[in-house]
Amino acid sequence: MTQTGAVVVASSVVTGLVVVLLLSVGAAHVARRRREQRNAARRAALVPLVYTLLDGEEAGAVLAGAPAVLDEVVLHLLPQLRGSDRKVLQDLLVTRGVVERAAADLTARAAWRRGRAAMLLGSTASTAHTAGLITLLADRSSQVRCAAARALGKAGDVAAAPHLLAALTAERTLPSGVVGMALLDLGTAALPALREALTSGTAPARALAASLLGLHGDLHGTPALTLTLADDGQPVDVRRAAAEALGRISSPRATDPLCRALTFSAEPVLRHAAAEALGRIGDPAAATALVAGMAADDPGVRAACADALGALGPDGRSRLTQLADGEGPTAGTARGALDALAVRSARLHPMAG
Amino acid sequence: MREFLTDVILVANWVLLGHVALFHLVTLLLVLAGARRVWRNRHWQGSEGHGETFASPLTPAVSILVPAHDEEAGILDTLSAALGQRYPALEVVLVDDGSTDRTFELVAARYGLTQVTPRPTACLQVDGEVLSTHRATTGDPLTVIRKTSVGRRSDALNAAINHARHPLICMVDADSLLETEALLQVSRPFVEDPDNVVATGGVIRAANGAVTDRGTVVEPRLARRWVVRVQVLEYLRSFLLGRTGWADAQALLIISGAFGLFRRDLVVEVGGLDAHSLAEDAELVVTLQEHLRRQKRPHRIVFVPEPVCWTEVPETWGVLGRQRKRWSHGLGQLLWKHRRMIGNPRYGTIGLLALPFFLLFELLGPVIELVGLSAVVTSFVLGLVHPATAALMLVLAIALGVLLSATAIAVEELTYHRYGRGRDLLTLMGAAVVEHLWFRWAHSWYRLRGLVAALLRQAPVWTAMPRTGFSGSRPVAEAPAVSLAS
Amino acid sequence: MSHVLVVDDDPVIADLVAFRLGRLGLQVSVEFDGEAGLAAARQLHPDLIVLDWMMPRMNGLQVCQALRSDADPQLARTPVLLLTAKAQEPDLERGFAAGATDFVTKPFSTRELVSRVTAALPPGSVVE
Repeated sequence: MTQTGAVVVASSVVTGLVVVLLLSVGAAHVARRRREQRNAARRAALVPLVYTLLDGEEAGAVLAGAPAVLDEVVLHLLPQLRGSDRKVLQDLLVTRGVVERAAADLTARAAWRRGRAAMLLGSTASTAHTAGLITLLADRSSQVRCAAARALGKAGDVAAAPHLLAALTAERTLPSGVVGMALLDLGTAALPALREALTSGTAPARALAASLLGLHGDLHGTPALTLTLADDGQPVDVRRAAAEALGRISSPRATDPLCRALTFSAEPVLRHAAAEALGRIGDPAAATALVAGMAADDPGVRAACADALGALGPDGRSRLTQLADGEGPTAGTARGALDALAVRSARLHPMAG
Repeated sequence: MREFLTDVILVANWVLLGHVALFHLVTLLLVLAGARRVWRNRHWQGSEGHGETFASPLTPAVSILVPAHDEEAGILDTLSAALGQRYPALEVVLVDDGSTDRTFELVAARYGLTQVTPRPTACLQVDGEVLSTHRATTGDPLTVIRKTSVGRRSDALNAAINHARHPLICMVDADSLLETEALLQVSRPFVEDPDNVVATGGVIRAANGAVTDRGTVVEPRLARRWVVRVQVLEYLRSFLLGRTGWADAQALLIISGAFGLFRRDLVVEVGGLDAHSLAEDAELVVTLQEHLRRQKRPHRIVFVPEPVCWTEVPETWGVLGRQRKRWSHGLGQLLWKHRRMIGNPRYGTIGLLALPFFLLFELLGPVIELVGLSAVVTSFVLGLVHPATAALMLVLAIALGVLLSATAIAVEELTYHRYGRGRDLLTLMGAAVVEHLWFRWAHSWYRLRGLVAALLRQAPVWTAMPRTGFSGSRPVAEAPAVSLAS
Repeated sequence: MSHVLVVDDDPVIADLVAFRLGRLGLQVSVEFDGEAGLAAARQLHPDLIVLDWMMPRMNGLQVCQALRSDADPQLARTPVLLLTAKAQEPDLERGFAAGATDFVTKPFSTRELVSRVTAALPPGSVVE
């Protein structure tokens, strides 16, 4: 009988839990509906005021004491605006005490408070809190570390660049994508730190620095990138990043080292990257190396070489046409590249096709 | 002899109760782990808007692969949703897998296809014959490959992978609808951690009954049939919560067939999709983990707990039965192929937690449930147990299941609240009860048949689902409303 | 009075742009997705279109291409100011190839936007 009793008790408890959950779902649903309606009404009233404020008119007094939904509107707009508009919104957040509260929250116990504070400080682009954010790069929560990195990027203080690069290999690491986006946000001011990292950083830092120098199109980085590409001692990832960067920078001085990498490397990923980079540079001097690369075993390398030849202008195209006449995989790849060129030009010049 | 039989029947009773209770408890724990994470994130999502991912030059390009076999009812919707993704760099590779209807003609007319020389980037084995390759001339980054069908989705996908050009690949079923930000959502882990992330997946929802417009869901609503409503609940439970919980344990096993993103180079490295698997996506995820773990290479598989993809679920018992039988068969194949990983500490939480869970509850569950149920009925008929006790046990088992569903619905309401109408929430609760009256047992029966098929090593049968098209969608072309599958 | 069509899926941004342009004495219409924007352009024949790149349904580039290849020669010549967060070199190339007249990159300044709109419209259409 005790067995039955236990089952009865268990069933009642479970049923009770279900009923409680049901009721709370209902309550949450109604409460959310009401809150949404209230916030929508407040928002509709506040947004025009923000517009007039941005238009240079005085609305600060009303907005300083407005309900919290205003912060959402401002924080939504802030990252999309710059110049004087941004300044106006930043000042509004300072007046409302949002920045001060966030700075205090950087050392809060709850991870979400630290994270949200970091995000807020990043959005307000205030460089006054760089030190606090750098400390958070070693936070125990990975989400907070990422938020701190993003915030440092948005705040735009170049002093943070070495710390961001160091976080790639710190005990509590940051993933390279997050660091890369933050460094890109810092803009060209971070270039010296990146050139420095390319020659003296750790392997992940060198690879990332190379990619970013490429994305910035940094001509001054070409010599260091060329050395990195030619250095057999470097990890493949770093050399590949250097090859891609040289392609983006598109200086013809990189043609020769890239041709060498394409011809002599055993790594398909590196050869692929070198061929692509040669295509971006478009220097006809690369034609011979690219034609040789068309004999590669790896279909990816062949395709990249064919595309690159197509990008070299008339000379490259006539080589492609010659290759397309033959038999075997090389000819097939060449025909594929020519077809792709034809589709593209038909699209750009519909009348001509 | 009679005593022995009595003992056997009673033991079976207890095994059933224990199994049901254990399953519900384990799932509830996972659900709670997921709910805890959702709760912690209520004030701060931990990540920022998608604008940055979209604008970043570091965001990797994606090839969306769409296998299509006789999909004229929905192919144009699917393509416009895929090409209309908010994503900075993508291409779509459509494989017309031996369609006998107007699938190819519709696409050719809409996108002005022109035949080109194929440009393979890999040479995975493809059993069907690749007939021709076409490119769109409308400026859309669309490649179409026509091949003969060998009746396997995996074969079509391998052909698509051979022609994909971008570093990430996303496999989409022709019958699923993508949210416009789906790619931005699931690619975020790749953008943030490009060195370690190898695969990501997102939440899939049942689209039946939803109001749609050209490949996007405008407003989710519940369908009228209970068989569909129960499946909606199933999807909610297993994806919203079960997987949030699994991801926490870094033991994510399945990236569903409807929406997952993978690194192309690694998929090629493991030889593409298993040609003979019926659960090729799950199989790929396990194979990747096994491969990388054995080579001690870093790898992370990330589940993004955001609804990104809507799929049409079976509306009739017959189709549902075939689908579930196939899944169970596929799971059986998968566990057999990777049997060395089960319970093997070398493979970490996947080996110790995920695979045993799937073996015990998903694959063997129906056996235990059906044997147990017949034992309960027998003992009841023979008067071996007190009717009140039997009834109470049944009530307890059902109540546990309903509690599980109620938690899932609660979390849905507290977090995503995609179902705006209170009525729909009540109906879902109703489905949570209805499920245990018959759905559960029918489901067990289908899965049992799948298990038997796997044990007999039957040749896999790939059957497509009849497509009805989506309600509320505007007709794109004068296509027949229903295209019946082979 | 010159007529400007603003198309952006973010209502806060669309309304802000509309508000600033309205202050210049321009007639402004607002749409919130690419398809509706294209339909509005065909119906209203605006003098200028401010178009967001990243939008659901049809993105800004597709709208731009559709406008340029429109049968109505006047509509095909309408200046288009593309508003975008993508400002890498290849993106600009793609934008101009699709037929954009000018770019404003996000994060943007409303003053800069106003100046570019003024420059793209015939002289005298803006009341300073």
